[in-house]
Amino acid sequence: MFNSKKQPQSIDFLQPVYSPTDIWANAYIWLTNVGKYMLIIVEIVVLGVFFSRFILDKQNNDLTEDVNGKVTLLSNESWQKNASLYENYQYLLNDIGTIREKQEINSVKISELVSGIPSSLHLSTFGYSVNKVSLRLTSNSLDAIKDYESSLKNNPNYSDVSFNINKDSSEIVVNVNFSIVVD
Amino acid sequence: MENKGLNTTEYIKLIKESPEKKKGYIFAGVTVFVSILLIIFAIRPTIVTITQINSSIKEKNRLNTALEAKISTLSALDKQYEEIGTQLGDLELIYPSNGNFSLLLANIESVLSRNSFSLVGVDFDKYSDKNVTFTPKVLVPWTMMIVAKGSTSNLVNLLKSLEALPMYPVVESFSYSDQKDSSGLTSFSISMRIYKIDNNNFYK
Repeated sequence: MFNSKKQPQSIDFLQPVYSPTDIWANAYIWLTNVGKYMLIIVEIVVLGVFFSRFILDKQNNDLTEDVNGKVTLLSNESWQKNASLYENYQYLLNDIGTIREKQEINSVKISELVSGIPSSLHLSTFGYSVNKVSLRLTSNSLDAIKDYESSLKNNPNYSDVSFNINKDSSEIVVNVNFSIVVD
Repeated sequence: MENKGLNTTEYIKLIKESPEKKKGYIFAGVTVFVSILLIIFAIRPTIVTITQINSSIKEKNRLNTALEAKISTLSALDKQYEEIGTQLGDLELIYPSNGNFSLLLANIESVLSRNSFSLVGVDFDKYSDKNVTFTPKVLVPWTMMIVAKGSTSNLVNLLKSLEALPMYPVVESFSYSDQKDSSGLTSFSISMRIYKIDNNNFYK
């Protein structure tokens, strides 16, 4: 089967010592020709692995020493205090950035509201609370009030607009309530 | 030449059962047995150990790199802090960690007088509304109520100036009526959302 040229031959060439059907003979030939190399390879692997442990162990020990050294350095009170301080500053600066960019500035909305009131209407009370607006206006002209009502109701930035008109002896008093639409 | 007397059958028997062949079988058996022993007791545990050491090395390498990065980052931050530490220290006045709003009060008084308003009263309280849509990590919303007197014509400028303060406060609610006092000034009530830090050791 393997390397059959090297098979020992019988003196009687018609009856060879190792017949090709003899399993043990084939196994023997295989072991002496291939098996020994396999064993040598196995032994080389074992030796290689054995010696590589010296290198890996050294590397592992060096790394352990490095890590321990760095952990000791970072465990130092001064380093820990500084790390905590810088972390706090980082969070604070992030928060400042967030509130600067994300929070709505209401003075602009109030400015728009105040400037939107026609001069023919007198603002007697003004209340603003979290996008809810209540106004008390006085005027002598009902038309001016009606114009203001329609302008508020047609403005998509305002919702739930309600007008409560009372006619006093001398002037018209209007209570206005509405909400500012948040984007 | 001594074997000349042997007949063919004996000769073949001698070759078939030669000591060399027996040695070969014994050698093969022993080597197979030894190699099995080697695989079970030498190669397998060694490879298992090598794998464990390798994973341990990988983990330590990762940890070592992370620690190195942390050390270098902290060193860089140390340098930066040396340069801008004083400016960062001013943040303590803007966002106090001990509830001391002295800078804010000083600024508010200055803003009010600049807009021809006078401060009547100030009050601080916990922030109870839920108008904050974002979640700051360290800053805590707080409520500041201001009562001031002045002219309605300066109101919008006052509100803009208040919201332009370095703390980034927000006017949450305000109200006034046209009832004037003896000096002809209107009273305003302004509620602002301000921020503080709930940690006394934050800047230490």
